[in-house]
Amino acid sequence: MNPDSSFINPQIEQDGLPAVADITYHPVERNYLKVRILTSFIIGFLLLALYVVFIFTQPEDTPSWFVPSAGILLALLIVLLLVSSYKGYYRMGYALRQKDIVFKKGWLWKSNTMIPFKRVQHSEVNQNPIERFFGLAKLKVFTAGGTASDLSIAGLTPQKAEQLKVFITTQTNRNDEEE
Amino acid sequence: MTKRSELVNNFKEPRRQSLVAIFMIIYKFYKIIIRQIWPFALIFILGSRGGKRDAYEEYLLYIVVFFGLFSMVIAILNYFRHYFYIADDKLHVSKGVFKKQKISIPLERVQTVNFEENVFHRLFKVTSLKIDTAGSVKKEFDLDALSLSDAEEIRDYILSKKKEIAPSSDLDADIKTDGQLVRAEEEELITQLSIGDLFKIGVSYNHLKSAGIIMGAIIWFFSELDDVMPDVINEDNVTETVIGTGLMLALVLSVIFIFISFLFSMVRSVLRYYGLNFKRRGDGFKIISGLITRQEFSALDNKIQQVGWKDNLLQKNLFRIHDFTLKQAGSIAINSKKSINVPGVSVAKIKEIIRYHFGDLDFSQFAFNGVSKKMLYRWWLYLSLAFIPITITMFPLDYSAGILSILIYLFFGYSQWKNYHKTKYAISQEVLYIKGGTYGDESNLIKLHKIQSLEIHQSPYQFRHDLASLSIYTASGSNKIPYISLARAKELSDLLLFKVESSTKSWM
Repeated sequence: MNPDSSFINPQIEQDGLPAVADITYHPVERNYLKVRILTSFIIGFLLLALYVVFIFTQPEDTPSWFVPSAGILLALLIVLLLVSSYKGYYRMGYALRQKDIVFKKGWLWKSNTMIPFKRVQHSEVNQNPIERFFGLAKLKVFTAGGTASDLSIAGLTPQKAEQLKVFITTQTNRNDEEE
Repeated sequence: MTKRSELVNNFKEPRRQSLVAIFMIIYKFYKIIIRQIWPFALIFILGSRGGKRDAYEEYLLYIVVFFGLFSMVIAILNYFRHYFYIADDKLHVSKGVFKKQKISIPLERVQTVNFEENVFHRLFKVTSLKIDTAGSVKKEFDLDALSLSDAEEIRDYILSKKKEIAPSSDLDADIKTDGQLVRAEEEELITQLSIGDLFKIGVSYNHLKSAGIIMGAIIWFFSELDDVMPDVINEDNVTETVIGTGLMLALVLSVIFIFISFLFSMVRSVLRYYGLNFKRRGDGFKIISGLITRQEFSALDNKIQQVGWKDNLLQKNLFRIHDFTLKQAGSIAINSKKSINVPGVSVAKIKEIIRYHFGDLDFSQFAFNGVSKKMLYRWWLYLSLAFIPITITMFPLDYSAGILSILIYLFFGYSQWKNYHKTKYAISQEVLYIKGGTYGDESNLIKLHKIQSLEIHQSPYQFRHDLASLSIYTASGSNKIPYISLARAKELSDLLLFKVESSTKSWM
């Protein structure tokens, strides 16, 4: 075994590499925090409605401990939902570099996705009704790596999203030409 | 194979398929119908059991006659409306009875030409032909029946014509030398399976997994029987004999089961892999196999995204054979045939295949790194959280069930320990090598420039311990390097990104 030819050694090359850690991330629009919190409120409200319906229609033989413990669990879940929608917002950030796009997100479960422009298949901008109301849009970037690898940056202004999309497309095409 | 210079297009004139195609269309039609309606048919037939027999039978007859005539007419119309020809370096097809469809495929877009023969094809000495095109363009082209000689001619023509057009437009042009152009049509046999090999594949098929499931069911069945028996027969000695015979029966049954499972995998391995030929053809691989349904598939180098092989305990220790897989990028057209599996391959053969695809890959250059032991501790914690309460509740109820639960607990714990020790990765200048497996070994090779995207993720536990997992996505599925230090994950992703971005090679 010859360690010199392995990955660990080309340190010189390593130092020269642009490191993902050094990037400054752009936050998404402040309004998106409202969207996140509103969405969790809606989900929480629906869950609560289901719970109330259950209380009124529960079968006779439901154990006495079931309703209160389900209530506690539900309350915890809703709190967690709200906290994570708040905290998660501050973890969201995207960065564009010369050759790739990076997006980080997640409060408890953190993730950091990196897609080289030359591997982008296509990108699209879309809005759901809540986002439309707050004047926001979502940028989706697709690769051939399957749905799990696709990137979705929410909380951009429609102009910004469109601008990013055009930028990515130009970068992708330029890289294709270089090849 | 000598007509490289004198390419003659014998397919200029629009022509139909072999007449057998009518039969094949009917056959395909019935296959679809039967697959769709068999539950209803079953209800219908069962329903006819109870009285009113004549009325049902009459309806059934009408329906059968109607479908028979209908499919016949459709098939014949289909046949006469289906033309294909090659002109202007394009393959043209016109087809359709009610909705006329015209398709033309530029020959340089053709990726692979595959043959598939079922029993009827072989009976009539014809073959079906499937053409896979590049990109995600949903243009599937297939012919139901074509005489073997025509099929081979059309394939050779398309592939050599494609080579003629390709060099100027192909993204990988810089790699293709004249030498490769010349051997585009040459075939080199890499491996074939003898009857002995088929036997080995059948024997080493994972019986243990299915045997375990059946054994569990048998044990459960007899414990149920045990509960009922004492009520029926109250004398203790009788009960003992019953349990005794029960155990005997279980033993006999399990022997029978293993025999059946063995027989089953034997038949399966012969049916699927009889006469398997794995060849190198031009810039790709070709596999032909099957006893009754004979299939031919091709995988081109640029479509192959990952190369892997694995074995189980029997394969590893007794026969030293491996299951080898070439994973291709999925196109929409031929979705299910993404990867090519070659069973019963020795290490020497694997190295040979790898040499074809990766060039001279020096395996000694791979310096393997393990993953953090914290991964194992975490798995053990989850396992314990699930098993300790079960075991504790089991013991007062049933002593032997408690013991069984502990044994299963230990077995899983041991499996996780094995898996942890086998999870390794290494990176060379061009290739990422990921190892895994529990009792057997798994290997996976990815060319760095075929990576699509990367993701670093951290669970709360990993975050506390400064660990992370790195997912590597390719067009034929993802791979994960779990539980490495965050710094290492960043370093790796920087390197991989750099490799992708600085590479001039196309991923497909």
